[in-house]
Amino acid sequence: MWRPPQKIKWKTKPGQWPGRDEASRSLLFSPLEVGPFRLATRSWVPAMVPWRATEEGFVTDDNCDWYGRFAAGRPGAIVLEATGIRDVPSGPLLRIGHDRFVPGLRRIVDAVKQASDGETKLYIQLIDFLSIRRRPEPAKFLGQHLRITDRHRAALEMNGTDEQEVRQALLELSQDRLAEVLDAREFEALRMGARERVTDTQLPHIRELPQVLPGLFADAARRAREAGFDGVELHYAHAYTMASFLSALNTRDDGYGGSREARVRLPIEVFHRVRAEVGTDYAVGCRFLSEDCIEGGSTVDDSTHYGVAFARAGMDFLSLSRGGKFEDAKQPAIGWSSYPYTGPSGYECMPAYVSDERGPFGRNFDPSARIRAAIRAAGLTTPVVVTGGVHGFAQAEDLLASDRADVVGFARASLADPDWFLKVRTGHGDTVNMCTYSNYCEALDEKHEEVTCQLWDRKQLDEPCVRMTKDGKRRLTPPRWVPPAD
Amino acid sequence: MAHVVLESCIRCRYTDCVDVCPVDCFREGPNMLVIDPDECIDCAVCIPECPVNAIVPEEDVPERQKQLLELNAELSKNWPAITKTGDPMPEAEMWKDATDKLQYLER
Repeated sequence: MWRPPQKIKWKTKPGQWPGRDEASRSLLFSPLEVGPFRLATRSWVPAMVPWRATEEGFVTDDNCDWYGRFAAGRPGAIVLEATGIRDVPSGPLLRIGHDRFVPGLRRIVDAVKQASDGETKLYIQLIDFLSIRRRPEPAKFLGQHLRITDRHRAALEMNGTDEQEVRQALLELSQDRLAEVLDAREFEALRMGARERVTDTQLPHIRELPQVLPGLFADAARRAREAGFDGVELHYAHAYTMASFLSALNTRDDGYGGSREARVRLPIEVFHRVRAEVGTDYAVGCRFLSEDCIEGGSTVDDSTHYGVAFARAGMDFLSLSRGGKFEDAKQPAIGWSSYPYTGPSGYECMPAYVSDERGPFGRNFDPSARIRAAIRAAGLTTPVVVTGGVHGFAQAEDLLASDRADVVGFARASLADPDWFLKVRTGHGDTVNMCTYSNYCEALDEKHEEVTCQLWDRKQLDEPCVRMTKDGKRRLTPPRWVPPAD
Repeated sequence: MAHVVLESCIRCRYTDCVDVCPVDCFREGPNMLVIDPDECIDCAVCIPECPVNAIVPEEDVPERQKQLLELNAELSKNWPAITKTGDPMPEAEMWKDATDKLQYLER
């Protein structure tokens, strides 16, 4: 996990907590209604993957408990974790690529409605991602999987030699020599694991993405509506397919890459198809990056263009994140896949308390505000969700009052204490368990372990019916909070 | 920045810290554990687990144990990862309050 070299240690500063009356008069705890996007309060739990689905992508009791627990804290909305739109195996990540996933997803909807008395809205994040392989054993990769070409023979001065001899020669090379003999993508496959890109248009399934994805997203959105979700969030952020179309690194020459206008074309086409499928009375928004935070990636100017384009196309909400790319990710261990939150761009996405002069709180506020201002200047009222290190009431209220956000997202702060919203709203802000931004949760995510928080995962383990992680060490949801009698 | 295992661990090696680490950054030597500073994320969750208070953040390493900073970095590259809490050293109880234990470090 990358950390800024300055290594300045930051502490949360939640500031003054409001009393019950002040909270009830606040913007944060007031409703927002724009078209089919209707929230009881302007608070938001962004999508987080807790690694609780089955290997086949089905919903488990632990998924229902998890979202029910968040809903008990009464945020305005929860966005269900990134859920795959294809009917392909993808490990313990939720899926919605077939009707057989609908009944399970409906159970989560029911759990959230029940736990919040119908107050908390539930959106589902729909994701597509391209293939990424695990970092291979060098002996296996060079000895078996790598396709031996004449380029290798030429570089090794072994023209005409049979394949096995070339493999043997490769196995004896140093890393430096391998970097010369293998082409860039082969060397990347050896070091990091092979990773497809949207620019691999020589591959038919990549070339056809613009034809295939609108239908896949639309079908997934239809299932989301059937399952009872209040809306869908199209995942156009981080390291995944749609964000890769938006990225300035997208050089496709088929009208879906190159210029900004071409890069945003598929995301807009996907949205239109989804809209046509679910109708205008259903909330459809997207999450996208205010900045790629990688060399040659999209800047806030690009994203301002995208934000206005999405708003103009008729999206019901826009949620902003930053960074989280594969391009600068750390080399994974052998047998593990590259993880897009391990490099500097990953740090921008989920900055920890060990930081630089700017600190981990609010790194995305200014770029988000610029994008929102451009949308307003274009005469559009699309609500903008702003996230990133928000943990205090005053900080959230100021974002709303100073016209920089319409909804405030709390990811790690709500993972540390899902009752943040309820506590602050009822004048009990002083009892909030404050996230320390240690990124303990992110470390578990990176290892594909069930995500929990160090502030509560070993507390009150003797409570009845506590469900534990597979290794039996950690509880899966925080203890219940009982409001003190007034 | 990282957390550091101090000399109190030597000849005790309780390993209670290992189970709580979310990134498996502990490395196991013959009679001591160290932390790989390249893997540690500074979450600090291991600190209260240690029965002999052997784990501290880098900046809190006492002056006379400064060499433990380098030892953690160096030994973590040679020693194998340990990912599950095991039995302490047989004479852990006897050594837990001893000081100046660096002389007993086995590599």
